[in-house]
Amino acid sequence: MDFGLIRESLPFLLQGAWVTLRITALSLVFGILLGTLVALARMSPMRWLSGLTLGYIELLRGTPLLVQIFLIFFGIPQLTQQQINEFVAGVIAFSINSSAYVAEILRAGIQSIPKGQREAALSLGFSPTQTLRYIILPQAFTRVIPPLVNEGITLLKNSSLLSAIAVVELTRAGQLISARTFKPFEMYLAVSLIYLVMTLALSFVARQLERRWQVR
Amino acid sequence: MRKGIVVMVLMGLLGASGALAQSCLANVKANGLTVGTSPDYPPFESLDKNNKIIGFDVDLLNLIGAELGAKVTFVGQSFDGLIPALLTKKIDLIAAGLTITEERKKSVDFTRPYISGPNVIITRKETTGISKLEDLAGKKVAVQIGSAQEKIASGVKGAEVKSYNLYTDAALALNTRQADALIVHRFVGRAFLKQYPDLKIVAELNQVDTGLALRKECSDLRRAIDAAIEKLEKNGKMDELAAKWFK
Repeated sequence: MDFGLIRESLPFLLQGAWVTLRITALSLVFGILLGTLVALARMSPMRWLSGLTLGYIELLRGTPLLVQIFLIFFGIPQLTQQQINEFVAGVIAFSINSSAYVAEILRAGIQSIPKGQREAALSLGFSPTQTLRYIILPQAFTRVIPPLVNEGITLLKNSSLLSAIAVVELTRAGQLISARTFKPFEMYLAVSLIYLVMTLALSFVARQLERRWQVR
Repeated sequence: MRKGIVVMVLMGLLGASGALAQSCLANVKANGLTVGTSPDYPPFESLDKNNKIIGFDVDLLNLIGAELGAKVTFVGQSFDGLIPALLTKKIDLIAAGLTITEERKKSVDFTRPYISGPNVIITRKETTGISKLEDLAGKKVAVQIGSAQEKIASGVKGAEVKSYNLYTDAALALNTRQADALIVHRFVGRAFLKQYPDLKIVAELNQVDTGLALRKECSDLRRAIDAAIEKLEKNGKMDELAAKWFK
């Protein structure tokens, strides 16, 4: 074991971890925004719209993320003759992929609120929009926090796939050093620990949020 | 008494490792030669239509295997994991168009060089203004992770080095405009040019030697392979192979 190597490569690894965090945060934000739209479309009474969204969701959940990344990184430039920065390509691929999962999480959250709530609200004179805004969504919100955090953790770990398109995120940073020093064990051990610190921090934040919102 | 046992165990261990060191050649003759490679580097090694590994290195190793009287098995894996696989004894030898470098020599032993040639810089045909290494400053340079060419690219001030898992991905990145230039061995560069007619070679860099890599303790196997390579060079078989793959 060469702990000196871990110490001396730590700054480079942390730079990579910072890239990992940025990609995860951006993709989660865009994924939730896009996913909300997709969830609404999915629950739309218009059959063609909900059918179309179902196709969108199945397509993204039924194909490997790595393939989607390659499709965007190598495929879009081939079609458009335009360069696409690998960081941007990564965020696009992850946001789109994440939107499918987020949409299903949100739909499940909304549909888990008993029908009686909606009926009661309507009979008390709430409009359908008000019912959604004041009765359904606030309750659904607390229920979707844990699965959304899970999605965040999944994204964080999956961002390692971007190493394949030469984004120097945490995994790639470790790979680059181990390819130079031929010491994979030390490097991947250090990389694992840094991932673990990040995912544990996310879980911790999630538990705090859950506790705060569930008391009400 | 306890001390005596410790000493005996230690001597046993030393003896065992000594015996291991002696047995590389014998082991290979008995159990076959497992050769690690990364089949993304034509014409040294690539996959044919049936996903079988073919190339100069495969033909060479089969000839060497015949000389040694050992059955040769090829294992394809990621390039950057080859030296770790060798050091952890998953494979006996690396045949991957591997450039002999001082840095690698610290970890592994090389056979005598079997090919020499320059690295080249490749760009798209439409690109202008790149004719030497220094011109790569401010450009995206595609290479393979862990390769000697990655080291060359990293040495260029201001160059943005993009390291891909596969060399074929690096070539694809250049062809799809995701990178501005590619540094690769000339023979491999020529093979990529056949595949991507929109690319061109714009500069030749220093000559480098290519060799097979073995664990340091396997000096007996290395000597046997060196002798086999020398024989193949003398009897013209090496030239035949070069003519077949590097034309």
